[in-house]
Amino acid sequence: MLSSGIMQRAFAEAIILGLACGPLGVWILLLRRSYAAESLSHAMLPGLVIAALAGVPLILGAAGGVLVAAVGIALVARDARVGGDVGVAVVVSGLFGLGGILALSPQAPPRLGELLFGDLLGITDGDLVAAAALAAGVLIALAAGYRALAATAFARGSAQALGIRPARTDLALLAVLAVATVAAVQGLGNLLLVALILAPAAAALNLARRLPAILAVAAGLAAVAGIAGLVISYRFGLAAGASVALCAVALSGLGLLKPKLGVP
Amino acid sequence: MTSSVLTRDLRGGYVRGVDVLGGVDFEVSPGEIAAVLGPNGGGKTTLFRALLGELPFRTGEVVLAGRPAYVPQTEGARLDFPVSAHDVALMGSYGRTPWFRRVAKEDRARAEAALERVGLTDRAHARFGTLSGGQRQRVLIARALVQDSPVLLLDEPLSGVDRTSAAQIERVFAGLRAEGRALLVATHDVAQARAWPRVLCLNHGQVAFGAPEETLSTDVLRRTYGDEIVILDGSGQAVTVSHHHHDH
Repeated sequence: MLSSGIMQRAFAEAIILGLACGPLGVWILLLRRSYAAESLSHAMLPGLVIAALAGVPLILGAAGGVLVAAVGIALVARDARVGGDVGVAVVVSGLFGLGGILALSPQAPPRLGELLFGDLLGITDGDLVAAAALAAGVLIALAAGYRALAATAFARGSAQALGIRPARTDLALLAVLAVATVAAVQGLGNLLLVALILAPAAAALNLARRLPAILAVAAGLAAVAGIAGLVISYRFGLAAGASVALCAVALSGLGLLKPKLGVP
Repeated sequence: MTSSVLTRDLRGGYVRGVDVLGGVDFEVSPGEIAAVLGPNGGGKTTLFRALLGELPFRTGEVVLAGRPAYVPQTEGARLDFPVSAHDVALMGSYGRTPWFRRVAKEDRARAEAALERVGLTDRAHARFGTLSGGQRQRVLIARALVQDSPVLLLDEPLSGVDRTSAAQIERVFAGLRAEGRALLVATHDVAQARAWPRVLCLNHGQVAFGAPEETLSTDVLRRTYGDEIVILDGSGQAVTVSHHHHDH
């Protein structure tokens, strides 16, 4: 299974993404940003489709798409009549619809499935290097922001008195999320990458007791989900990205069962 | 002796032109503790936010001996957050730790000393959410102790805490005063306020400030609380201020 370059790159990509997405997911859950994680990845579809139509690397389309989505959400959320969640919902469904129109037009190449569900087996060396660089950036940013994130998530109202800026911390986390989303879209697609961010984190929060351990467990679970998903997809001829996403969800399901299993 | 906290005609609120605080003038010296009395929504927390520099709109003058440490009510901290008491105390050092450095060894020692001071050394590694309300309040006080600030603002630290915690917290207050720090303590407890050297009565503005024996007259209390106040008098009997007033 590991003799082909395709599978080697797929495994490397899945592990790299897992190591970055797992810990990021912990902060997304602790700061209650799951909706933003789900939305941001969906909202970049037009960017992806335009990149596919223009024949430029998907990662560029993803970056452009995320930027447009973020600006759109920020602009709509400024209108007090709409409010944050509604603003996100409106912008995201609008952009997703626009992506669909572009992707389903007769001129579009038949690659919509790849955009939505990713293509772990189509990863090139260049993709791998880009994903590794972005993932490293995510991990460095999370390490640098550890204390600000912890103080904000623990007691937002009193964080500023400690010398932390909660609003800036929120924005920084969303920026890191955008980077991770861009990194993961090639391999997992914009519908599935959320599973790798949120599911291992949910399990880790239930399995470990302290923050550093939780972050490590989330990274480990996400990497294991990537490996297991690829093995299953290879053995049974299933779609790779979907297998990884299902493995991540299955692992988190196991994590959530922990109290019933009586594991200390 | 210069004051630790001084405000002159401090006004402000969350919306421009709508002042929750209307003209606050008071002064607290090093080693003094001042009770901040007032009804819910009367401006106690808003005053603290103004002193912390977090109030969006503010006029008037604020002079502080240093950046204040703030102890929120325990409801302001999440119970499901995966941190130990020691981790929370350590957060007091985050402001002086650059993002690229680890927390300094001295700060770890400070966190341990702070937990010892609030009587929670044996619970240092317990998860914050598993502690009792009074213990959680003491952990948040330990976090402020680690900040090592000349001014401490405490938001109802004695409301709803058990006797052991209340006694421990009072001992910590005495120690902080002996070190020359100034404390502003928001409270609902008029009897508590009488025991401290200064009291500030707020009700959408300053009603009175001074030594409690001169300040806490029935009239001042009524203007502070309206008719909603219930005081336990010496015999433990509940009486409203307005009844008190008519009795005289």
